[in-house]
Amino acid sequence: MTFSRALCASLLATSCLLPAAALAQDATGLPPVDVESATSGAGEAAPLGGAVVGRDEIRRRQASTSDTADLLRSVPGVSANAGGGFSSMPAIRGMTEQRLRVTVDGHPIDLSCPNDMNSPLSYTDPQTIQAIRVLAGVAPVSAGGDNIGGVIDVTSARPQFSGQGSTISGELSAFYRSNGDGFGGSARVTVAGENLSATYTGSYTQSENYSGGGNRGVVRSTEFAKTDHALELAAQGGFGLVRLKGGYHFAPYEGFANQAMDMTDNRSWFVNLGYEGEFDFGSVRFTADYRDTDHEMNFLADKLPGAMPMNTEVHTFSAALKLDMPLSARDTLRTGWEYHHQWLNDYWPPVPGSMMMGPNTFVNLNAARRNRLGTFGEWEARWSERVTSVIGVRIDRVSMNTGTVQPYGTGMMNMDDAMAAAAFNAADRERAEVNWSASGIVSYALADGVSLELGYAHKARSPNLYERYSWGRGAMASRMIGWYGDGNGYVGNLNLRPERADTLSAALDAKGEGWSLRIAPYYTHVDDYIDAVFVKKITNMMGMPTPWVQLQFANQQAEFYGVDLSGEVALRRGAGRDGTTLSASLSWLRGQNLSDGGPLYRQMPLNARASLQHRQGPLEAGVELEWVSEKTRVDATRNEPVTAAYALLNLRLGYDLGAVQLSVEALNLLDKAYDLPLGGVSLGDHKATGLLRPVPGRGRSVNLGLSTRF
Amino acid sequence: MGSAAGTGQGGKARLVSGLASLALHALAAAGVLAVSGMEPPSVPHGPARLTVVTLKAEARPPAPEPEETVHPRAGGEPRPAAPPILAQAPEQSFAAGPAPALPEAPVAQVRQAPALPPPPPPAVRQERAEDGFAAYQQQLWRHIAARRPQGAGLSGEATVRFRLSPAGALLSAEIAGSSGSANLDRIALRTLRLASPMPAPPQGVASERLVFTLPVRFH
Repeated sequence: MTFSRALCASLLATSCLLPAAALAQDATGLPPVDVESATSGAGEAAPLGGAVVGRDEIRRRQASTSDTADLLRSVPGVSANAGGGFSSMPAIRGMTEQRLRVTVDGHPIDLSCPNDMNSPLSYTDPQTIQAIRVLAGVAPVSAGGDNIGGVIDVTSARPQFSGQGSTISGELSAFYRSNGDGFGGSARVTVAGENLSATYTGSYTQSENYSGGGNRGVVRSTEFAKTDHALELAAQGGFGLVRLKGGYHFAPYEGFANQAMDMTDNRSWFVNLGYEGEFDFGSVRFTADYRDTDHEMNFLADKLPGAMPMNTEVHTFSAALKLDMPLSARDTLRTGWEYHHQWLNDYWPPVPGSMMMGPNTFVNLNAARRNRLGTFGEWEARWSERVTSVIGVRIDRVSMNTGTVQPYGTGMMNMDDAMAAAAFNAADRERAEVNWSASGIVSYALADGVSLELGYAHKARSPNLYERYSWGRGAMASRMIGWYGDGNGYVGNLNLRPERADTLSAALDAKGEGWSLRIAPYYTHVDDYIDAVFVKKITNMMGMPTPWVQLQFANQQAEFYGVDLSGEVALRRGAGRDGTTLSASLSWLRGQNLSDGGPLYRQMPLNARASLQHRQGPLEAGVELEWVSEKTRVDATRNEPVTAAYALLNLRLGYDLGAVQLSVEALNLLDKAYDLPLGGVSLGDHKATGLLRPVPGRGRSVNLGLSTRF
Repeated sequence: MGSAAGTGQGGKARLVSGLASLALHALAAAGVLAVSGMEPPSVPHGPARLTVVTLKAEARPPAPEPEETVHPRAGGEPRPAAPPILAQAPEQSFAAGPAPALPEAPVAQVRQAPALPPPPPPAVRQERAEDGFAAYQQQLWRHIAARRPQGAGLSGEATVRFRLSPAGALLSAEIAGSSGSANLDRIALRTLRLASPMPAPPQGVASERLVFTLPVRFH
């Protein structure tokens, strides 16, 4: 007893002394180890099939577009479904809208409009985005649930702290676009102390209607204006890092060429809270957010005369906890929980003097709720320097409900809606599903510079509120629903089941001295894919035929397959960053509705782009050729228009004056006339001229950009 | 109500697809194990469960096990996520860190005695020992660099000072120069702990010399 106590004491004493002794002597210095951050900072594996668009690339192109989704078209396999000037909807390998999970700084933003006008990315501005990460193909389950098509995460600037004292840094930018007289500017200012930091980001952008290429003339209902402001406070200390960010978005107007309505007011404010902590057992990430959005639709100048106010109010709250636990140098275990709550009111006030739109308020969704509780477990293993695997399972429970609804009136003109409302109010509207997902990704380095990734995922997503609860069956009421830009009317379906997708994807990546190549094929089969089936032809008030049909959301079978190719060759290398690089990419995709045997809607035809980039000292020059084949595989159910093949030539010049960076570019230099293959039909033009055409692409635009960093 | 209607119908189909998916994952894991088994043995592996093996070896002072002899393949069966054994391993390695220092340090000094009081050793021999130690530093660096973590989106440089046992186990680690961020400092320290056991130092290196500093630069 005494002996063991003495031993303990001596052990304690020595173990205290040893580190002191170790400190006293000279240590052998090893060279530094460099650690790169994942762009999201979330510690998630970034699969080969994914891509990151970084600040440098975004800065180079921020004068070209105010539409974040448009920026993503440079990522192979990603296309953009045209919407408003800052609200087009990205599509990853043929899947879009609510099939994707879109987050900003890790916080999800809901679609909250019957036409998806205020898309999640519409709350971001290319001028103030730090990076965009796209997870195409098989995204690990830790990247989020309730999606089957992939994940897009936009990150703003990470908090910065000064080593000593306080510092001020920031970036200012401004741009002008000749086509549409667009202009805008942005500011980011960070005041950083050792442990506290405050960052303000703000931007403004506006544009008139743009002109189509060649003889296409002005494209109506394409004007927009918006401003975003946010302030982030961050604090670090022994506890870790805490970020608190609040922001406000205001869009006074945004025309939608391919919708019956325009956005006439959108205001949204949010508070995001984030915590990042590192502990002996691993990393802890906690996020919580609240967002309140008031969204209004009506007609802008091109769609007048007329009035039809449509208002949507949305509140969302989410909270998520993620633990990242390295168990050994080989194994990392991830687990997490996520809660997301959405509350939505959608109502259309009566129009004074209108027989049809009155006397009551049309209640489209009455305090609709959609709650989701998810949890996942994921195991990442580094079997060797060459082999890594990530396997995960996830469960999401989605519950939805909505209150009773009412039509504008119960007269003859509203008979369809009145009957539909009665049936809807009598039905049981509460729904709940438990969806499971799983993903498995294996990466194998075949040789130096050559790696192969294979992935399989089963993903599920429940219908959104509009797919399930849109109830209007009148021609006009149903035409107010839908984010397809096709002019057709859509009716919800209480009996919809969740979509379940099985995806197999692979990516072969090869890099050598001055070149790289990536080949990424994929196949997805979707059970209960939510598409639409024909209900009736829509007639006007006189009973005359219109180009539109009424469709109802329905579960179908669908499949997607295709391949994305991309590569780069350094043609010449100079000192530092100087050099000439040729890069090219090609995407081929087939989306098929297996139930009706026809092509799926809005599937990007074969497309390729090649660019030559030259950099010499402060000068940067680029030539880009963009080619899209004709689109003949169209969705007959929606009367999707056929579009012709086209090729666009873009030129870019950048000059770095040190303190200031200048850029001049000419997009669609040859002013080629073309129609957007994913643009839908031009309803703004149709209302003004009576002629129906696909939405034309933008004609030549000369853009000037100016930015400075301090 | 709605939930019963929604889930009951697809229940069987979901069960079947669930089982199929599990089977697929088991296959994938088995495949990965098989592939990693074909890896050239020169790549150092340091799974945590091996920490236990090394620590036992340390209890018998003179026989540090060369790390290359142990291999994840030895683990055998593919395991599902979160194997409980692995969950314990790091704790053991931390707890065991300082404790075994007592018995082994003096032994090592007595046995090897290369540096401190230089009793006329042949010069050639000393040079060779120095070469060996220089090569070891490279090996050590590569071992840690191969286990570098993912950054946390912050930039800074954390310098860690650590001490190894003659068998290569991590005895202590501390921050010698802070990055300014507690999170980054902790990631740097955790990286070292997870990289332990390190490759065994060459025989004949005094334990006082097994103290190193390593800057970890986060970008």
